[in-house]
Amino acid sequence: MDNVSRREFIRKAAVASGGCAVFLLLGPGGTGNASHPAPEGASPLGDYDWEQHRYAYLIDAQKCIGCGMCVKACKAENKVPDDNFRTWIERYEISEDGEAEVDSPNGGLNGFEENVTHVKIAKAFFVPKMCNHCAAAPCVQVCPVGATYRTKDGVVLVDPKHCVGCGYCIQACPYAVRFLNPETHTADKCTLCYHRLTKGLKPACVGACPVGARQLADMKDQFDPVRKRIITERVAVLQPELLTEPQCFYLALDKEVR
Amino acid sequence: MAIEHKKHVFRIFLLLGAVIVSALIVRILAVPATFGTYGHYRSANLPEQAAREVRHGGNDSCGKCHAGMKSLHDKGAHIAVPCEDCHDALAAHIKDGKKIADMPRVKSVTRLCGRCHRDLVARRDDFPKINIEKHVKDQGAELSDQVCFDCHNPHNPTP
Repeated sequence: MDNVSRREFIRKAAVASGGCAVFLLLGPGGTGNASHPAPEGASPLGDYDWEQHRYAYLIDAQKCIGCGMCVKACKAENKVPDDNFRTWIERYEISEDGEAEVDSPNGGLNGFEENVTHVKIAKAFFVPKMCNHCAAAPCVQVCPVGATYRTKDGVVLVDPKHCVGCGYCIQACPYAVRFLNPETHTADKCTLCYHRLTKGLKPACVGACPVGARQLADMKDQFDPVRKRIITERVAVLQPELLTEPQCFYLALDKEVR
Repeated sequence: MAIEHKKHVFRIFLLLGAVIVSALIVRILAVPATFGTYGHYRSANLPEQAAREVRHGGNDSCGKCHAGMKSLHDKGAHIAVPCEDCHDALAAHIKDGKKIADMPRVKSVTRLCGRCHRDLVARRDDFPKINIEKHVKDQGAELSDQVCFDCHNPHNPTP
């Protein structure tokens, strides 16, 4: 090191910093995937193989009678706190001059009792709303800690143990399906009843619907009748212009519904 | 001159090493054990989600004890209405195969029936809709919480 020339010093410094960079990339400071590789052939969910399923949801708005039984079942199944909803029913009453009146008293939990408007109504209908389990979910993209994610079988979930409750995802969701759980102080939303799906059961809302307005599809099951309806009938999604690729498909969706 | 150079280089590398070591310690403490196995999330959350309690048992679970009621219900116009819609989730009534509580009583039957059958303008017309107040009056009855059941059996209603 006696009398190191300027050129020599820069060369050695470059080699040393290059070595540090290689260490940072390949060492334990690299990506998460490198530090915790997936075990070969093992399913994270025991006997349930999430590679064999990909869920989607079909809402036939024409069939919905607005009884709110789905909202009630969701609350009971998931112990959703009062005044928060993982699914809810909206009622639209549209006058002949195109004025839309929308309401959802207590999310439709206790049904609907009175008509809202008394003007001449041209059309009126109910629309169930819930998490769209988007394939390109904005909520997943904005989470700063990786607490919200999409499973391989197509369900967007929140990890309440990892969520810091910052609320970015709640703001990012264009469908307003997320809320801050007042008990856990973490983000909360529809899980598509993942605890039921993984046991071969349907979501509670699907089971509660007396008119078949809410249905679950498995897009990896080619004999699934609901999948067939989604791929063969004229379905719509909410706010397609946002390119979130919602996996909750609607039949008979009115232009007033966002 | 040469000795001073050595000292500076040593200090820089010491500082760099300290930064790397502290960054690694923070990372080990902050990143959960199963983070990143399948993606940018904690995969241990998957079995946690799956382990949540199933609270709705479905009609078959009700039929295990209430077989007569179930067969009556399955013959009627309300066959598509699940038991747990009007009553409550199975888990409120049964735990580990044993009865833990009575199902809650429906306070207002009239309201319960109205959830599906009240003649709201938003409700589709090909569904049996009733103006409950008018219908009860037409039948010469008084509107009360239980009045619907005076004529209609909810488990096997006739129109």
